Amino acid sequence: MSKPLTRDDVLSASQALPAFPRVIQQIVATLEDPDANLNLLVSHVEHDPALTGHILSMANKAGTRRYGNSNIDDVFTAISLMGLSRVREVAIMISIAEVFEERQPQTVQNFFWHHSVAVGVCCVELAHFSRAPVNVDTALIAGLLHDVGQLWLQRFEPLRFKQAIDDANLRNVDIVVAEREKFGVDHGEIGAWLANHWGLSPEIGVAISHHHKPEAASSAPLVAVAHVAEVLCTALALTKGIQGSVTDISSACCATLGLEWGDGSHQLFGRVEARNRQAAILFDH
Amino acid sequence: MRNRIKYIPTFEATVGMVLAEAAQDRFLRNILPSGHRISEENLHQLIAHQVELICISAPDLRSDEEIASAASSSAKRVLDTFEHADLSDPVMSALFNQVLTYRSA
Repeated sequence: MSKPLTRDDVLSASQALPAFPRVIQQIVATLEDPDANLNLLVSHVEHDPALTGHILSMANKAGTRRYGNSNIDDVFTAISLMGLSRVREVAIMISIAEVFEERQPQTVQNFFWHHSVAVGVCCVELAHFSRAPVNVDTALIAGLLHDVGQLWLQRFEPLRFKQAIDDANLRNVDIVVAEREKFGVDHGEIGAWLANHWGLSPEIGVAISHHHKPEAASSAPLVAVAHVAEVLCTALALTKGIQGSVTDISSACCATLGLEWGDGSHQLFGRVEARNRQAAILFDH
Repeated sequence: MRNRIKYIPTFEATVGMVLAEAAQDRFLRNILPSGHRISEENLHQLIAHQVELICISAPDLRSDEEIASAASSSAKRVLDTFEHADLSDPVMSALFNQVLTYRSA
């Protein structure tokens, strides 16, 4: 192993990335505010022209497709139609997509983004489905960002990262093992450094850090959600064009979420697939 | 005639579809009951209540051979996906069985 990557290496290189979208923190802040209302969310959304365009587009797809109404052209009406929770979800996805889009080859963007959205929506459904106290929007953010450390490696250490992937495939070991040998850290740890640097809730950083190896933090509901979501996405082959391999699932994480793989599982699987299709239209230009 | 159960985003719903489960809003309030055939007015209702996903029952128009062939292909894909999994682990084994039956349905 050459010189191990440090937190400082990662954060100083990440200055070359676009700033983390402020609207995410603003939206998350509204979750904790019982007085947060439609007007506040409208105000946050309207400060971001790209986000406004997406929200209006979504509202028009959802509403006027079958009504034949005149176009919805104001954010207030769009949010009224879609609902606060759906708009928050869309805003989070669109804003994080901007981080992924910057300066990545198209194929890399596509793979990471499809996979991240699949894990993100799976996190949302697990948050709904499980008995554990997990905030749905926090779960979505953790899912969308769970592999952001790999995106960093792809962007700033492309050759060594490819070697790590090839090595993991050749030896049939988990990618985090190969990353640790190559870089001294794995993508979970790198992702957690970035999430913490961006001021996201510490529980998101912990979930990103432990999503491959959750044993040390499996009692944390968000860690359990992120871990199980990634396994489920692989099991259901939700990342377009990728046939992954399920190797581990933490029984402790399943217990934390009150998940028993039985009769109710098909409902969860079906909802995850449907929500994944629903998310795909966001990026269907 | 066999029926297939499928979850779909509400924006894919069309008049005449039959609900296999009650359509619920995000507070788990029932908006339309299981077995209900969706009307034009119901589409407006689902949107107004911000129901995101629904579960429908639709006729399975495939022949027995087509069903068997699709189930076999799906089972092979699931087996490949779980090739390196430890199926002696009860949790992994239960997940595998559920994914296999889900994909074979």
